[in-house]
Amino acid sequence: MDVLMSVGTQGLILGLMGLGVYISYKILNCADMSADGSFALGGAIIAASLKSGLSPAVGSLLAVAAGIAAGLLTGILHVKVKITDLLSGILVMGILYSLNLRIMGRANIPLFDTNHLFSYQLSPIIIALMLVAVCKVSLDLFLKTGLGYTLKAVGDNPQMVSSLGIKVGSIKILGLMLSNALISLSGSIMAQYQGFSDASMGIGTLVLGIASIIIGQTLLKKARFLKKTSIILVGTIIYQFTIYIAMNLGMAATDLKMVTSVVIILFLGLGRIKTNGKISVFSMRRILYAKNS
Amino acid sequence: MLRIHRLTKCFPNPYGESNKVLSNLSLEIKKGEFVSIIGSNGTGKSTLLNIISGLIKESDGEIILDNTSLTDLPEHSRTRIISRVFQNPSAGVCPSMTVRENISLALNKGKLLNLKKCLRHDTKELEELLGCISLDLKKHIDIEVKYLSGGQRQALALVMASVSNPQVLLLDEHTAALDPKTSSEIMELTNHIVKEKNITTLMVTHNLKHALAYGNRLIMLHKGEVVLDAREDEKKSLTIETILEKFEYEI
Repeated sequence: MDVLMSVGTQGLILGLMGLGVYISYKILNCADMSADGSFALGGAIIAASLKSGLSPAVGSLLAVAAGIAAGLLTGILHVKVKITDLLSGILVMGILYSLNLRIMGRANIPLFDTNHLFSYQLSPIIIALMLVAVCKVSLDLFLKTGLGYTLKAVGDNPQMVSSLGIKVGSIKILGLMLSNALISLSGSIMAQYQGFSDASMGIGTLVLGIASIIIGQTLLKKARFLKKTSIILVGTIIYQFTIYIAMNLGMAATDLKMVTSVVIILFLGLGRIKTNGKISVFSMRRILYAKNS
Repeated sequence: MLRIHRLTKCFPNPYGESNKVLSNLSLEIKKGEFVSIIGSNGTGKSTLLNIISGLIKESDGEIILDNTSLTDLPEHSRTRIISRVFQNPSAGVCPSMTVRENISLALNKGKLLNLKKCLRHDTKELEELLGCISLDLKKHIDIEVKYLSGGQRQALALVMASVSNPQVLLLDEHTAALDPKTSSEIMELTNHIVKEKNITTLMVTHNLKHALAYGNRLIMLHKGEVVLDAREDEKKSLTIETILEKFEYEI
């Protein structure tokens, strides 16, 4: 039971990251690699804050602010300096890796002996649930506003947004800031939950986020009544349980990144085969009907 | 009034002499005038629209709308007063949003960037906007636009372009990708909207029938210059045959 709770809590915390990746990958339609750096950035900031005696809440807010700054940098590189979205993300990821080591001073900081978000009486899963609920509901509300719809439209048809008299670039930067803020927050909460911050904890964040989104959207395709954000949260949790089962079946922790990639390939590939199958049945029928008539 | 003053546009290329698409073009278009622009490929029709909308920069000359020069306005400030419908029906709409969401975006033009609820217009108001369309968009109000036909999408794009009462409407071969029946329907809708709202309109078309049947002025461009400029009665006396005869080399 304890193990299940722990996996669930991790799933919820990573769900925040999933929501962040959803903004860049799905809404803005751009694979933002700086996610990997931002996740570790959140961990680095919270570790440094807690060590210098700041409260967990202030430290987490600082992590959010740092994430916003990271997104701003990626956005400026992409929109103003006109570097492709992929390369901008990779460049910022590199910058953040060095920066995180500077912030922490060394590669790993244990937080077991410091006061943090999960050292209170409340059960970790409740804290994680409350945090995720607040972020999810705020994001849902935001996406219903004029600004939120503009953000969605930028990923859908930038030309149309431009013809509405809006600078597409600024909206993109805003989206990347929001995305990285959520990812950095997720990293800071994760560091507090696992009791340490590590400079390499962000590696594979984007891929993990994409995997969660794809799993959620594939498994819950029919659930039209669910909000996209709920689907992503469910996807992240399912994914964490899948990994847990894989580990129990004897996979090593070092295999995880490979498993994540294979899962994405499988889900994307299966989706493709399914639609191809439909198309071939459809065209077969067309051929048959054509012969009859 | 839209005044185009001595407009020139050259496209430089690495092979020496640059390609002069527009040379010293001057035009005065009155408020509410519906101008059809015809001419063969490469005569600068689309370039003219691109320059007016700010998509590309002129080499020389000026564009003045109601005594303010548009020359130094960036694209996103121009698009607040100038709307455009493209040849590709998908260019003017957001495919993964519903008809309701698309129209709400257009209705909020100029005041989108805030935290007010975007879908605050009631269904009746939206249905009225779609009422003049014969393509049954009303029934599909909560359907994602990517599932609509090209004609329906273009009708929606047209309504969206005009709903914010722009000062200038640019139509860039907006019926070219549609079948003859749908394209006539879109032309009827265009005519209805332009007349009702009295919007200054520039329509580029290769369809001579449409160019003659609609609008109150016809301009023919050739090699970046105006070779025919017919208004009201003069335009009414024109026929496809006379145009083809006189300007055979240009069409």
